[in-house]
Amino acid sequence: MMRITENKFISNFLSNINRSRDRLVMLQTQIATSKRVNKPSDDPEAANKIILFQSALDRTEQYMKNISEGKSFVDATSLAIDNFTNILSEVKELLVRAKNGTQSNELSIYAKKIDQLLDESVHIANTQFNGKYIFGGTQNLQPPFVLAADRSSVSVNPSGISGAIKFAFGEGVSQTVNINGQEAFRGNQIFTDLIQIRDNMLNGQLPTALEIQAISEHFKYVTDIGGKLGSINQTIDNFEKQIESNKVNLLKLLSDFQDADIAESIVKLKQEEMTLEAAMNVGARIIPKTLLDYLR
Amino acid sequence: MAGLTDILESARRALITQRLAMSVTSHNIANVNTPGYTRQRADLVASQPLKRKAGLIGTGVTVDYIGRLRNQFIDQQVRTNNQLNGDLVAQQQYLSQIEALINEPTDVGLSSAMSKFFGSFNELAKNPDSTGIRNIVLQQGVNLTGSFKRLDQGLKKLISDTDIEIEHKLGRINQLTKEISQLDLQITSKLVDNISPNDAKDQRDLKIEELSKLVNIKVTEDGRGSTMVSVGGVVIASRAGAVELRTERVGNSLNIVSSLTGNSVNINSGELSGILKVRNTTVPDFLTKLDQIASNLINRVNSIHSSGYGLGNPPSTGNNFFTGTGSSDIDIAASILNNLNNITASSDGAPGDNAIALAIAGIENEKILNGGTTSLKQFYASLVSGLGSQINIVGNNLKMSDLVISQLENQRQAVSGVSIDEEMTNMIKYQRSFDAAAKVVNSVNELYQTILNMV
Repeated sequence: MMRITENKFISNFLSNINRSRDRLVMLQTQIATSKRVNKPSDDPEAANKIILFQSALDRTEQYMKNISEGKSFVDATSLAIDNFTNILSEVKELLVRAKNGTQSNELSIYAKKIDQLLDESVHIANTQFNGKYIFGGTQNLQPPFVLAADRSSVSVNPSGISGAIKFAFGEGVSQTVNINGQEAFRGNQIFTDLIQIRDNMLNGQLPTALEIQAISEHFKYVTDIGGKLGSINQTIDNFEKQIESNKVNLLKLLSDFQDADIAESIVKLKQEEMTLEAAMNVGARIIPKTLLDYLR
Repeated sequence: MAGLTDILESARRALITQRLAMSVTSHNIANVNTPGYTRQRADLVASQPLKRKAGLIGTGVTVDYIGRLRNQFIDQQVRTNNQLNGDLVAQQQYLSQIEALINEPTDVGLSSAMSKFFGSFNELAKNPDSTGIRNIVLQQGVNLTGSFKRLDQGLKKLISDTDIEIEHKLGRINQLTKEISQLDLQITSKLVDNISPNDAKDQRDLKIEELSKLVNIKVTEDGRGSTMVSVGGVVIASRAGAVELRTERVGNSLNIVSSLTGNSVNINSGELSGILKVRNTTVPDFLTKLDQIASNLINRVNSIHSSGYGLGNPPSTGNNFFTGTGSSDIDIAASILNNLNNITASSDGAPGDNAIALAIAGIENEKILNGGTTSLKQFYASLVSGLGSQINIVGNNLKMSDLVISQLENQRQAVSGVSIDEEMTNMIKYQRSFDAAAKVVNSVNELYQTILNMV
């Protein structure tokens, strides 16, 4: 028969209590942080996944920020293009009106009106967003178009007005978000045409069918640019939807690996508490007892 | 027929013997909580009988031997398991420190610093001309280099901590071997007189056991009760004296050598071995991998960054973003620290171009490690989870080893432990015998009275 000594009771009691407390501390940490994995050794596989999912989530959030800023940029561009097409349509109307039955002394009034519209159109082409010229291409810190002081010409930024600006909207996905001035306004062609028309009027020449056709053609061209922006917007919207559903998935995966099931942890905690209490109770009953208690 | 004196003599012997047995019991009770104490027992035997005509007449009782109740086989097993246990305990202790150092998964570890760094280049891509965002890029760069250096220095500090601890452990080992050889000398000199020096033996066993937690010892006992302790084939404690162990640096590693011969001693278990494993293998491996991440990051970012253009007129080009070659010396290049406009975002010098910023932000996903199969993050994540599983394995083995040791301890206590109940029962037993023997003396005394009265 195995001899059982008093010290064995004590060491058994202590090691049981210790084990129980160890589990209690773990459960307590889980409940307090509401996380199942607080250090890599809690679950190495999950720790690996958590780091990668967290990184993916960080990137996804970055892409969402990029998307929202990209959309604002495209929206600002769209608005400018819309305004520009309105101006062209106004010019066209003016030209049609001027062509049909205008006294030559009225021409200068039309010319003045065209000049105003020229001003406005250059202003629109120099629209700024966040301090940058949206039609400046990659040289967007300087105005892309400059109306000469004598209003005889519109010059383009000598550093250039072309170049694409791309935003990252996903892993390996970068999307051009700008329409540069070269593309949007055919360089300074539209402005040059407007100046020509104005000067012809000032010289007493009625608008020609050719001039009207040129403006119509410009109108159609810029409207198409607006359509292109619409499709860019559409593409960005699609990215946004993808990214959002990605984010939802990532959050769920991260939670699966990382989060503690609080209800389960609490139930376990209660069980562990009971075990500890029982161990204490039994220890308190048995440990003090020796034969000495009965020898009188 | 036995004379009255014979009876008186045997009663006297009984009184002495029971008293002696009681004193052994008392010694046991007194040492119930003494670490390493082995319960002792007085072996009682009937004393040499007298030869009379009627036959052999008993002369009572005597103590043959006061011995220790100890199972050498369990001792051997405890020592073996102590070595494994010590090894695991030391490993766990230091591995947990590494784990605390890397501080993952959290939003303040290296992983998060990398994400934020690449994120800042994404922001720069959207606003290449913004000084505010260039400042953020710089700050995230400083945060990232700081994270690398903090880890690097922390791990190196850990190595120097282990160096100190190894010296402490060696000091204790050398102290123990000295004491063991002294005790052994005492014990063997007593044994010559056929006296068992029980308490000295307990002391020696206790010291050997402490030693077994520290290092992989082998204990051999010769027929005359002398023990010899060796480590990896080198005798470090015997009756002849102790041989000290000391450290020796070989390259970046720390070796243990015998101070007598200078030959290296094979340490493969015990706390010393656990610390050495972390010191010579785990931490240097971790540092190498960290270095690999840092150097790949530096090279990749710099090669893209230096090909691009900053702001200014004319825009600067050819600037590196980082300096340094690894996790210990990674830093932000002085040209960047001096002038934020030297951060490059543009591939052609146009201030609105952001191709370089986008490319640098994209490095986060690039598979540039392990021959183009692993991204920086993936490499780091597997480094972290590798450490986690190492700690897990050590922890599980430790739990098992703890159980084995507590089982063995229970077995040993079952043989060697003092039970108060048992000792009290013995005490009563001896007390009753003492009482009875005293009664015999009394009776003999009455017999003498009767005889004297007859005169």
